[in-house]
Order: sequence, then C-alpha cells, then structure tokens
Amino acid sequence: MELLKFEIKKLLYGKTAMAAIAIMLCLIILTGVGEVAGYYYTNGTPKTVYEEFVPYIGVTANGYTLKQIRNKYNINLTTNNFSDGLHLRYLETFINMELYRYGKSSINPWYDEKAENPYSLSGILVLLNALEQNGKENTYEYRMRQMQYEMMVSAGGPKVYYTWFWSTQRKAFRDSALLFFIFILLILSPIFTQEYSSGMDSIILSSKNGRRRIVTAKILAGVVFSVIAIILLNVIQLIIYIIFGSASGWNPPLNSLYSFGLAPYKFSIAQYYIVQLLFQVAAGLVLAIVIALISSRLKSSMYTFFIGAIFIIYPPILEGMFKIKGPIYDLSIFHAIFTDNVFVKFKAFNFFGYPVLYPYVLIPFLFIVGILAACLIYKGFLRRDAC
Amino acid sequence: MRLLIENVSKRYNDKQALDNIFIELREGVYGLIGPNGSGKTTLMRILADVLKPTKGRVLVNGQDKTDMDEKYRELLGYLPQEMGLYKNFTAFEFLLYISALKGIEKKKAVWKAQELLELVSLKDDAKMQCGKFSGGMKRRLGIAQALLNDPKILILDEPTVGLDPEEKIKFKNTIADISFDKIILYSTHTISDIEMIAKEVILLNKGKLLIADTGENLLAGMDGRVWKSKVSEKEYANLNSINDNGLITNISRKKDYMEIRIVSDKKPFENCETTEPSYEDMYIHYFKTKGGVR
Repeated sequence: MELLKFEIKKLLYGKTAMAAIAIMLCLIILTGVGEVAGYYYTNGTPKTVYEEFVPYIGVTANGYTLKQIRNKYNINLTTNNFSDGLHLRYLETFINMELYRYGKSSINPWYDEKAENPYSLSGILVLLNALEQNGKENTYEYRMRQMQYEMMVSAGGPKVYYTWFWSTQRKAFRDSALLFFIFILLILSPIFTQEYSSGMDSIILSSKNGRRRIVTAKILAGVVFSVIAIILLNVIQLIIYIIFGSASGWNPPLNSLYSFGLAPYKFSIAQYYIVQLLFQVAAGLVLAIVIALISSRLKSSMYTFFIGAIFIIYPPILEGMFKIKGPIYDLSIFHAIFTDNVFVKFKAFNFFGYPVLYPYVLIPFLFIVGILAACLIYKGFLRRDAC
Repeated sequence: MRLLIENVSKRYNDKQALDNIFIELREGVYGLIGPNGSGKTTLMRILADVLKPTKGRVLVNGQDKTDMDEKYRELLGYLPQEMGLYKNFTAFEFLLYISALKGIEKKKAVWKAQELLELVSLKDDAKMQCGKFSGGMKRRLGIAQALLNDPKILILDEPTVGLDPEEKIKFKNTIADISFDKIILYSTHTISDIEMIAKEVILLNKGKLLIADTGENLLAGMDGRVWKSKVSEKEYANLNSINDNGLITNISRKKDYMEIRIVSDKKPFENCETTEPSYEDMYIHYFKTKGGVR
C-alpha cells in the first residue's frame, strides 16, 4: 500500500503530468460545454425542442410521419447535412424504423440498402430461409442468424423518444475520448522508464520488494490512475449536461438513439451508459497494463508513448490504410473505448460452431491481453539487469 | 555470516568484465581496489543482485543468492556509483519510499529516516526537494538510503565522491562503527578511505583477482620495496633514464631539494633508503598506473 501511494505520487507530481491534467480538464469541460452550446444555438432550448417533438414521441414509423417531418422543416434529403439540426436526428430515427423492418428506407436515398440487408428483420429472415432450404440448420451461420433475429425481435423496432441529451453526450464523448486516452498514455508512459532515466533502477532492483511488489505497485498505480481518470471524464461530462442541458431520457431503449437504430441489444439508454462506462474502465485497465509492459521494456518514455499510441489507434489505421478488418481489428482497446462500435450492430464470433456475441468476446480477450502483459512485466523484472 | 563469491565471471559481448573471481567474505570492511575497468563495479552489481553473472554463483552461508531471492535482497544495502533521485520528492519522502521498497514497516521507517538524516547531516534539509540538492547532499542521501534496513551486506561503490573532508571522516567513522556485524564491501579510488577501516583489501585488475589479503600482510609484502631519496633538481631530471629501476609514487618539493618516493624491487640508485610502505605504494606496485610512472 505504501509503495502504491508513492508510485501514484511519482506519476502525478511532475510538471508535465500536472500540465497535462490541467489541459485535459479544460478540454473536457470546453468540449462538453461547446457541444451543449452548439445544440442550443441550432435547436433552441431543450424545452422548446421537447415541446416541438412531443407529438411524435412514442410513434412507430410510417411513411406519413416521415413525410410530415420532412415537409414541416422543408428537409431536402439529398443536400441536408444530418448534423444540422435535431429534427434531422428524429427523422433519422424514422428512417431506422424502416431499415429495421424492411432493410431499406423508402424515403431516404442515402439508405439505399436492400431488402436482404442482413441487419433488418426482413433480411435476416431471407438468409435464414435460404439456409433452411439448403439444409444448413446445424451450421454456425444458421445459429448466428437465429440468435440475431431473436435479439432484434426482443429489442423491438426503434421509436421516437426525447433523447436530446444522450445524442449530444455521445458526440461529446466521441470528440474527447481519443484525446483523453492519449492523455492517459502520456501520464503512464514513464511509469517504468523514469527509473532508468533517473538512475534509480539499481537501488530499486537491489531492494527486497524491488522485483515483485514494485511491479504490482506500478501496475496498480497505472490502473488506479487510468480508471479514476475515465470515471472522472464521464462524471464531468454528466455534470456539464445536467447543469447546462437536460438529463431527461434515461429510460428509452438504446435503439431510439439515431445511430443505434439497428442495435440488437435490449438496453435502456441508462443501462447502455453504465455498460459503456464499464467497457471504458476495462479498456483503461488493460491499457494501463499494456503501457506498463511497453514502458518496462524500453528506456525511453517517448518511444513508450508512440508505441502505446499505435496500440490504441491501430484499428482505424488498419481499416483506413489497408482495408483490413476481422478479429485483429475488432478485438482492440480502441473498440472498448468507443463502445458504440461494439453495440451499434449485431456481431458475433464463431466458437466451435456456436455464436458468441462481440461484447462477450472483446472484454475477456482484453483481460487475457492484460493478464499476459502483467505476466510479461513480472517475468521481465525478475530477470532484469540494471542499466 | 559467510559470503562466498564462487568462480564468478561476467562477459559483455566480447569483453570479459570479470574472470573467475573466488573470494570469501565475513563480517568486516573489505576495500575493493582497482583501476578503471578492473571490474569493481561489475562485481558490486552482481553482489547487489542487479546484474547476473555469466558464470559462477554467490552463496550466503552456503545458500545460493538466486534461490534466496527476496531474502537475499533483504540483507542488502547498496549505494551505486551513480544514482539519481526523484526531483519532486523531499529527502524524507525519498527515504520513506526506499523504506517501502525495503519492506520496512512505516512507523519504523519514519524514525529510521529521521535518524539517518541526522547521521548524514541532512536533518535541516529533510523537507527540501531532492532536485535542489548539491552533489554532496545527494551522495549523503544515497548513503542514508543504503543504511535504512540495517543491512548485513553493505555494498558501497565509491561512497565518498563529492563529500567534503569532514563528511568523509564522519562517514568512515560510521562505517568502522557499524562493521562489527556486517560484511561491507567498499570500492574506492581514494586509497586513504580504506587505509584505516578495511579488514582486508581486494585488488582487481582487468576482471581478475590479483590478491585479497589483510592490509598488514599486503604492506608486509611490500617491505624492502619502497624507497625514498633526497635529490637535487638536476638529479631528478635525470630520473627519466632510471625508469626501469622503479616507479615514483610521490614527489615533494622542498626548499633546497626534492624528496621522492619510489617503489622498486631493488635499490633504484645510490642514495636511496627503504621506508615504510603505504597503501598508495602498494596500489602503484600492483597496478603500475600511469600516474605512478614518470
């Protein structure tokens, strides 16, 4: 416990760390306030927005409602940017309702998906029928589609709810999360390397607790910092929204959020908020251990920082530059940080012919990575020679 | 306690830093002497458990230190040749941190840290950040951290570098004082540091053990090999040509003559008489450093 306190102090006492924490706090507050202010500017107060959309709340999709909104606000779907106004968010929910049921939107040319769209009820049924006709009921593909269909039915189709606060919150989080995890990386990079640069490694390695407990203390210090920072990020953003915005809309289903129209998970928004927080905590925990591993193997905090940064952001690089997807892309800390990627659509992994949902694979996988990283740090430190 | 360095070798790529060192140490101060690159620091780092030997082992009362692991390190106090401090820690915090590393219970650590800060004359600077310390203060704090756990094996790699004469004397007295129940390995380039306190002197050169014996025996071996002579300036200038006859270890310029001290197996020239050997003569005799040759 004493060692842990000192290790946390070592992480946070430097001028760089203090400056980084101050800058990060300002950025979180500015992003949150900016996002709220932007919405006020575009849409008016939460009260006026709420009153305007009361008539549509709870209604299910039909062409009439879509037309109503489109005509009322004079929306040109081929030119309007969806981020322009809140009413477009609601319109998109209506479009999602169509996608959910029919696989394509009859109104919006941007959603020219087919009736066989594998994320729509109609599309899943088409696929299931085809598999049944080919006698493939005992295959992974069939089991997976069956699971998807049942989940989609259970989640129910998207409906319009007043979710102003949450749409804004998701955007503010996306804007600040990557920078925030880079900030964690910046603070944690010197966790081991500082001992080499400060010339303390000889004294540490020659001490009784200098090969095992010090590793435990350093890993715990990294994890404690990372987890507390993530919780603080969420709490600060929540407080900003409660103070400046409206914290209503905790109970609507997740798929009522415009970007989650095809999500198969039967969560309320509040439940999803807690789930995403737990995912971020898990990501922060594993990230702290992986950074500690990199830091323990290198002598430079700068190299640790850059290698750690690559470890965080490699999925979009793989996708953007090399068009690579698959398990190496999906099972990454990046997706545990940006949990929307995990829950937005149905995704499962094949385990001996049976489907296992993406979230159930991602978190255990990350924990295995964390445990392996921790073992490697211990092993490396037991054998380590001082510089 | 018996610390046995059994056929220890260390090789770095193509350089043999230590070659088959075999020494047995018991309670007392051991002066470790040798020129730069002789392997002193490598040997100390192996004993401090921060470096693994390529060959050989270190035994404490017959038990391999590798098997003892934490229990071995619990016995250790180590002051490396170069050590850093955490700039943002105060001296007191630094000692508490090292106490935690050494597994010392907090209450005990607090009074031990205070006691040692007083011993190394840093009591008044206990709340000063280490980043503001001078070289000598850092060294003193380093000495304090090495003594925190009342170590049974104390490894000091050039501990007096940067200390002023008064601090040096105080430090040597402390070492002499605590050495009755400890094995203290003390490496230095300043021979006078160990002259009075070392029970035995270990001489290393190019990674090999030259000799390990008591100071008295080593000096006795030098009997009849140390000469002094009074020479004129002119005679002194001619000594260049008698280099083969010995190594000049000291020159002291007096009013009308020069007094020189020579280490040589035979009488270097007429007008020389034997004198009491010193540790410095012994050092020159064994290592024939350039500083001793004129």
